[in-house]
Amino acid sequence: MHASDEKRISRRSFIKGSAIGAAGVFAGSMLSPGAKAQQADPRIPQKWDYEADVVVLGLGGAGASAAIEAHDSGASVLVLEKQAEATHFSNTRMSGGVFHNPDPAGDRKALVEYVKAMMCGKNIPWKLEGEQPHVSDAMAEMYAEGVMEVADFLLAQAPDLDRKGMAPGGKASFPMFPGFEEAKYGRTVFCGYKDLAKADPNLPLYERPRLTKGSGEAFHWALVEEGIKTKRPGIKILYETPAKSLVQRPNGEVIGVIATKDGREVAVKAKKAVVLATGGFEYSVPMRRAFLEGPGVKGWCYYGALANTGDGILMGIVAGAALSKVAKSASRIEPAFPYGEPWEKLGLKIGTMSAATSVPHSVIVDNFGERYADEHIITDSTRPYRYQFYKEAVKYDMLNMVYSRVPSWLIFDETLRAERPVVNMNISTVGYGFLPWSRDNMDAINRGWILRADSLEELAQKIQADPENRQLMDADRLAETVRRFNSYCALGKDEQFNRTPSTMGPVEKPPFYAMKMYPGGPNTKGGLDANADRSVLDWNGNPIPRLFAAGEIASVFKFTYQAGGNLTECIVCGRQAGRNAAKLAPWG
Amino acid sequence: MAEVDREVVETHETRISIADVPGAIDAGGEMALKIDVSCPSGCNLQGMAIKIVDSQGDEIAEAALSSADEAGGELELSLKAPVEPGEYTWTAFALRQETEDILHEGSSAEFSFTVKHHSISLTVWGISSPIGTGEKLKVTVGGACSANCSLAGLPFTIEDAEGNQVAAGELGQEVLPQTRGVYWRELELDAPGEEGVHNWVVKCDPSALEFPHQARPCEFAFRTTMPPEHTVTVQVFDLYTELPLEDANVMVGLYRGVTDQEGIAILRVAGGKQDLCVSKQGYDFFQTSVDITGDETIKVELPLAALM
Ligand SMILES: Cc1cc2nc3c(=O)[nH]c(=O)nc-3n(C[C@H](O)[C@H](O)[C@H](O)COP(=O)(O)OP(=O)(O)OC[C@H]3O[C@@H](n4cnc5c(N)ncnc54)[C@H](O)[C@@H]3O)c2cc1C
Repeated sequence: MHASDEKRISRRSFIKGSAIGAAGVFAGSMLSPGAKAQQADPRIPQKWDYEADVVVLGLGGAGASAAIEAHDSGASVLVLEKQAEATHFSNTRMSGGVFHNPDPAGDRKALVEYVKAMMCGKNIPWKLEGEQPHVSDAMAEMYAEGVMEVADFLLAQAPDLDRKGMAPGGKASFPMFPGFEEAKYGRTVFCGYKDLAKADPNLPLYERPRLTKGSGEAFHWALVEEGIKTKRPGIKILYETPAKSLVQRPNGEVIGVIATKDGREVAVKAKKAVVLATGGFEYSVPMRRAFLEGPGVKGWCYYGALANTGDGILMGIVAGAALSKVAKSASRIEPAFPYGEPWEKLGLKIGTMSAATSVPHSVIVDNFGERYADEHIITDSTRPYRYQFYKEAVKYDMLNMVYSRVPSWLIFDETLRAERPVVNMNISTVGYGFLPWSRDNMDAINRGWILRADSLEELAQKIQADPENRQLMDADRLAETVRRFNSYCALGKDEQFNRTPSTMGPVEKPPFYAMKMYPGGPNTKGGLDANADRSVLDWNGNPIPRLFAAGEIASVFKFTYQAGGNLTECIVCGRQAGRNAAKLAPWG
Repeated sequence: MAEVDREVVETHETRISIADVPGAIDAGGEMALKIDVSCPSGCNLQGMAIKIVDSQGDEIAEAALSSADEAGGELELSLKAPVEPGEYTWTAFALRQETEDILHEGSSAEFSFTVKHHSISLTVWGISSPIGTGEKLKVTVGGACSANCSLAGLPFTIEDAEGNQVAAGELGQEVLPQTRGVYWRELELDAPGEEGVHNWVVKCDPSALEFPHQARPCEFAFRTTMPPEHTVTVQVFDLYTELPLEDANVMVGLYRGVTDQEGIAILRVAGGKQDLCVSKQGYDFFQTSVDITGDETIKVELPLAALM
């Protein structure tokens, strides 16, 4: 039995305290008895339960970096985190741990050009999206400055991280963008502690001893456990304390936060500023409905933290913040399953990362049973458009008025089933125990998450019986698709989509299997508009006083998803926000 | 006045209806029907006789309503579908029933369904392609029946593109693991002498099976090449940890291999200039051109791909 079978930890309530519906919880109820209510501004608590110079909301990579930087700039820092300490699994922690690390020998001007392209595509003639004219120049400068320090910042927290994996040299994803060559832009190869090679592969990442940790687990450990808890015990963290709303003066100035702790509301005074770092809106039904165009609210797959319900985005909206490119929220297709709290409470499936889209004995077909792309693109980091694969999947079939590729179906055979787990068992939602999975894939088959049949015809019938297929699957077409693919395998060339030959191999040995795949990604990206200082902006482009944002809640990458860009911006923008927050003079 | 001995007989109509009629059913398959007879006065009709008759008037089944409900009675009936494929219309009769003081009239209703052939899906797997011309080609032929009949011993033939029979055999006696009813046979055939892609076809003869079966021929392709003359050993490592990588897919020209625990794949290949590709999910794809002139060992280091 594999360890992941026992990995499921009881988690009381991840989506508990989603801020939707809690908007506008002002502090009227906080008035102490006898207070002179008629004199007081009803929005401002009479009594504060906690206070600090800088209050950081959310302890992912962005929140942790903001807290460290604000602390080192001399501010007192309090972090409010929604999840419980023992099972605090943020996107940052569940991630791959890759970030950007351009070669210092690269050209600085070219670096700014390249960063600008990633952020807004301003300097790319053929781009049709991504504009954010008022911030791109200054923001590119800010990022170009910060990106050179990311590895050192991480190593300063955790000297036992292995420098080798973080050395410049990995390939960044968009070599065709301006400035790439001259900037010597690149990404890290791996983030891990120095004894990683001695790791017990059967231990989940989060249970491994520090020196054998790797991926996002190492990244998180370096920032949160070492950078904050060990090195800066002065930074106070309140776990299980979801922030609900911001406390604002009539002039818009943000002076505190209302949160929930032990079932009661607490008022937290922020003498200098509040940094929003609560991540994206992956598991918010109202925000998916509001921001995502495409296959409904449920036709998406996200495979990171379940706690990310757009709370900070809502707090920002209520406080008058502008939104920016919120729909930039996907990158590829992955499987998702009806399981756990999001499914039971919200009808949202939990996504995870497939490990079987670019290996022999599998193909991906649409609801009709037709292949529509080179499947290897989904995972091939050497091809940048990988990060736009979801756009293929959300393609609307106008004549039939259906999203014919949602879900898409990974069709595979017994050889593949027996050979490997079809999902990534190390990181993401399986690695962190949110979804059960057995190495032989049988658990998912027995749960009906993967359909199984003796023949492709029977498999087609089973797919057709799934309501999400809307009875579109055509057994003859599916059988013909697979026959044709198998003949390409024999030929050694995919004459339809030119899939990489070494990833091909016939889908031939019964039984046959089908697993649903949905457009989505690791995280949503768009959210609050913020400038180069990471000040949150209102709809007129003016900063909201004392309010900052960093990380996924306000990603700087508005043009394209860029591998490693997310964790990079956690540190670059988190530090920027923390530094600028600490710089302010206290209001009281 | 003497009492008149008078029988009070009320007459009630009945109404029969049939639910759950399958649209199409496998020849000889089980057909579960739900028969409901109601009396407008709400009498208990448990025990009322039911008869199913085919279009020729021949009786198919007889039974009695087994349970009562507020408006009559019900029966769940399991029938065997006819063996001959085609369209069928049968009639269900509720038979007239006289109790002490109530006469329930009979009623009837027709129902239609289609009986279909069982279909056999043939598959071919485990093809050792590419294969050197004239070498032994391994294939496994399998078949499954849509109605889950045993196909043990089913005779099949393999024909080449010109329709010449190149092999004949029978499916084995056991069911393939993980399947409900796939029967199979492994074969070793002589690969053709000419180089190229060959499209062959498997056909089976279902005539000896109990029920009528239709079987679509199954095409499969393989490739013959010059008999490979060199051994290429490809060793695959993780660039970062320098540990061997298992399960990487290696291709030299058209020849494939998968690395073992030591990260090694051994391929027999023909000589000449060809592409070496190595892919493993989670790692960057690697491709280069190699010129194979003798036995060789090639070391490949793969960088981790960005996983997100
Ligand atoms: C499987 C996977 C692999 C990935 N791989 C990579 C990679 O290799 N490189 C890369 O750059 N990016 C990667 N990403 C993306 C990256 O992890 C995220 O974009 C990034 O970590 C976001 O950081 P964040 O700090 O903004 O949010 P998070 O790390 O998600 O942190 C948000 C925190 O806020 C807390 N929170 C939420 N609501 C509240 C509230 N109301 N009050 C208080 N706290 C709250 C959450 O509990 C959480 O701890 C990956 C993501 C996933 C899921």
